[in-house]
Amino acid sequence: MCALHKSRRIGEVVETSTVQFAVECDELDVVPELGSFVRVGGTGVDAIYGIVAYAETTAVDPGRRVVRRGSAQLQDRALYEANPELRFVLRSLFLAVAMAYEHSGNLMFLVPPFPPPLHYSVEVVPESDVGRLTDGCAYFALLFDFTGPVPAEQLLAAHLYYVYRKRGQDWDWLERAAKEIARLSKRDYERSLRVLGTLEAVLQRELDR
Amino acid sequence: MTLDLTKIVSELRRAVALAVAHAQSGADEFVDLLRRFDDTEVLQRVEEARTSWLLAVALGRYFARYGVPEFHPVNYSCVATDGSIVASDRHGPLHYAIVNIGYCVLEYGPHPRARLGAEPTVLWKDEDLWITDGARRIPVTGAALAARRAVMELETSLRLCGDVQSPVAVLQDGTLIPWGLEGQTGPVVAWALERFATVLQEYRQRKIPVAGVISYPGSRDVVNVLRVAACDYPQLGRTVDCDDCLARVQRGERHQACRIVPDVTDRWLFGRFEGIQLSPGERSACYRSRSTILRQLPEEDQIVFFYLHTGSEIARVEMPLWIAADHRLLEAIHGIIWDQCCRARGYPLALQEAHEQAVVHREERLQIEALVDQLFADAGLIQERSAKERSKRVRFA
Repeated sequence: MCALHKSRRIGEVVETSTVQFAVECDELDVVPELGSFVRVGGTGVDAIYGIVAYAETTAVDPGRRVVRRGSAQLQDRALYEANPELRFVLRSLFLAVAMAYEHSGNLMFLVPPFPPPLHYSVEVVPESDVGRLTDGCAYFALLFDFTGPVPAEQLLAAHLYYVYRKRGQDWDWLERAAKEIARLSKRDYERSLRVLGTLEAVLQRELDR
Repeated sequence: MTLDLTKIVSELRRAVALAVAHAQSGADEFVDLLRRFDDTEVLQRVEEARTSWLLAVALGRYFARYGVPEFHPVNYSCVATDGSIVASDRHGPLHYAIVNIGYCVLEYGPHPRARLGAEPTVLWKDEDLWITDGARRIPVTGAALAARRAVMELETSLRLCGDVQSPVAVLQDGTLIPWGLEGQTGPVVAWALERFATVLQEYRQRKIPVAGVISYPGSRDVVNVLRVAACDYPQLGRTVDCDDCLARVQRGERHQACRIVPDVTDRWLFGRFEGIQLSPGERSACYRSRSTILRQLPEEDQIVFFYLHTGSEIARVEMPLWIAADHRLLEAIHGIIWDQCCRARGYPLALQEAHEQAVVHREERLQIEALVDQLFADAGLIQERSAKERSKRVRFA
């Protein structure tokens, strides 16, 4: 079992399966970025790595409807301060796609042999680990085929943008990633365009700044 | 389908028509009665009246209205508790009761804070399940168990007040008057009131205001006072005596003068009747309840009440007399409940959250039963259930 870093804990597993796990965040609205890496301890492995594929904030009790609390005089952050119970009745959740696991120091880009246990702590993967996780791009196939609330093309674009930044604006990596996307979607040119077109628009805005 | 609605709709239609006609009859006389209403004279009548109805005894003028107090709570704490009971099935293998007390502590001010949770207690010992009266044992069920839960709610709230910022108000869901004990036997009343009186006394000694909030109240204590005001017995030189009047009405000797008062609740009076109706945030005067069960409590802990327009309905707010007698505390209770209602669309937010914490869902009740069965099985005993209980579970067709 990998000793995970307590201070990086962001939440714990509340639903689990071999391919994905749902995580309830410790703090309301403190959710990891879409497309970012998280990790959790596993059964028989040191750690399971996932990519954040969706997030939501809802009432803890699904039977309770969230209603308006604010007004022109009470908004946003002040509204939360005036209603301290909100952090108990609401919760933020995210869904992570399991894409790799680590065993005896070896990183395996496969779905884990067992799902991460319920209630295990989930942490954000530190920037220093993003490099070794993304040296290869073969795991893109898992994201490409993932069916979730967020369209796979949007998810991939978000992930590429996240990795590009965490690797220190790594254009070389981005080129390799783009080639891998093109390879994965060689029979579906439109799909490839949707991923790379979205990413290009984001990067162009960044370059313009 | 076991009830054929088409067979009852015509009867229901007639009943509604009669109720509407009754509510609308005597409207002019009723308005005139309110115009002539003399607080001093009516209070005198109420003190002497012999009625089978509950009468409200006003602590000031009967139809005075009080706006949201100038003390506008911004920095305050509110502690609320609400309890659920899971009683074991009489046909089940083990007798127990689980009382789940949900709580909500809200602190507003520069350092807002909230605490929500629930504390379950299993009552299973003999002294929890039985009231001993000499050689006789009376089961703690129904009204007795509800009284026990009410005391546990009050005790939990009191404990939670230990480390909250002042001013603080404790809110309870429902009445503070142990109505369920009326009609119970002496040992049950004594058993329940002992702890109830003790906890109310502790609130008084620690000067922590406590109030029960009743949503959509069905009480008629003030309307009944109007019946007394409409009574013609005093003009005949007699005190108000409903039993005597009704007997004479049945013999056809007289007409019932109080029939001009519509058959409505206090909620309707304070919510709908022009001249009396409350505006959002306003409260009525305070009234003492003449419930007989309250006479067994010290006078300062006897329950008084007022009606409050919560923004969406007329609610009844009950509190011990010592709070109503302290203008500052009364204003604090009024202001805090109003602020809490504003935060949750007409019902105190803290009570709403305490209730959510207390609720025991059907699935959880089934889990408790399964757990008990499992624990028996672990000890090598397979518990048989009664034939009736089995029939409910299987539901043969």
